Amino acid sequence: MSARSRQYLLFAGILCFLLAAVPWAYTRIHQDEVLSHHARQAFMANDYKEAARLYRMALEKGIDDPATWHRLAETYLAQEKFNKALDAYLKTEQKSPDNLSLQVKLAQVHLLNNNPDHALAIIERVLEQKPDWEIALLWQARILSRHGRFQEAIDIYYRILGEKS
Amino acid sequence: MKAIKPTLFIMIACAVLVWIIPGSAFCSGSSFEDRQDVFLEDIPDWQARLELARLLSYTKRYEASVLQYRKLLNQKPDLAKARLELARVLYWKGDLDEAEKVFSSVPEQQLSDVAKLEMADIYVARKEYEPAIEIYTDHLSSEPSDHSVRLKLAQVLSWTGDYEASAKEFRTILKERPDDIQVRRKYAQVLIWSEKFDQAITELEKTLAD
Repeated sequence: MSARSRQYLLFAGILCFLLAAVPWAYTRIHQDEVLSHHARQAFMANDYKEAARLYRMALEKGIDDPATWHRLAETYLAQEKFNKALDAYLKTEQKSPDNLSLQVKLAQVHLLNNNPDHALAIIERVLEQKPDWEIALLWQARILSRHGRFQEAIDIYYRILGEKS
Repeated sequence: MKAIKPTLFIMIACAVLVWIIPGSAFCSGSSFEDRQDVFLEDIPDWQARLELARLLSYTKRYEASVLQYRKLLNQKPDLAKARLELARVLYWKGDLDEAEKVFSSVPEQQLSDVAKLEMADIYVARKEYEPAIEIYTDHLSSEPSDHSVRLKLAQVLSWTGDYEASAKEFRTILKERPDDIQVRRKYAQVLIWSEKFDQAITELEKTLAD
């Protein structure tokens, strides 16, 4: 075998090694992101239980960002595990405390968790900061309905629709 | 040596990619925090109007509720659930003709079991017993243990004068619920109408404690 052939052989061998090693190294080094990616795929396939398991694993492996906590919460919501969803949203809130949308979402989950008082308190805090925000107003109306405060809820709906009651 | 240099270069490039790709492909921590819309879906106007219409109907403001349902259906004419709810509100309001018209405008395949039963109740209120009997019978073929619907069927049959069929339905209910005094008294009433007085007396006696 000539020296050139040996060089080509060596080159091909190293290339094959890299083809196998790179994906392996990628999945080992970035196990948390890979898990998170698979979890999202499971969620899209409506396999919420598997998605929750993978998100939890990803969090255990070191991902600790609000997006992952939020997605874990969504998987719990999809499974109607409202207590667990609330815990996950509270974790999200710790990491993203100024997000008003998250506050509205938290209010929704409190409402689902049969805690309309807490939900209303959160929504009222949000509306102090953004008084004309329609989504928050709508959730306020929904929560008031649950409280049996129908007339207040009706007034808010008319306000959202720009009509007089 | 000439072959090793490009190989080393490829190895270093791959290692760098292994570290860099996830940063762009998966991680989104900072951008996530900036996004306000990630948690909430937009709620369209029609959804708010539907909720308002429902709330108005729950508070017995039927006129206002019907107005909202009509506006909603102008905006979304294919929204079958709104059409059904409008029919129900019209029924509560006592506007039976209009309720039937709206019910009839919903394609049958979009009518839920509950909606069909409500439709049957409208027929009964309008004293159109045959279509009501058809709906109740159809429902009982799939839900034979639904005694509330069987009771309605038994009563409607008795109002059409078909006492035999009515009594049969009453007996089916009483077989499952022998202690239901009210059903037994209604059964006795049907026996009286069919001039089976002895049986009626026996049934009425069963409903009296002494």
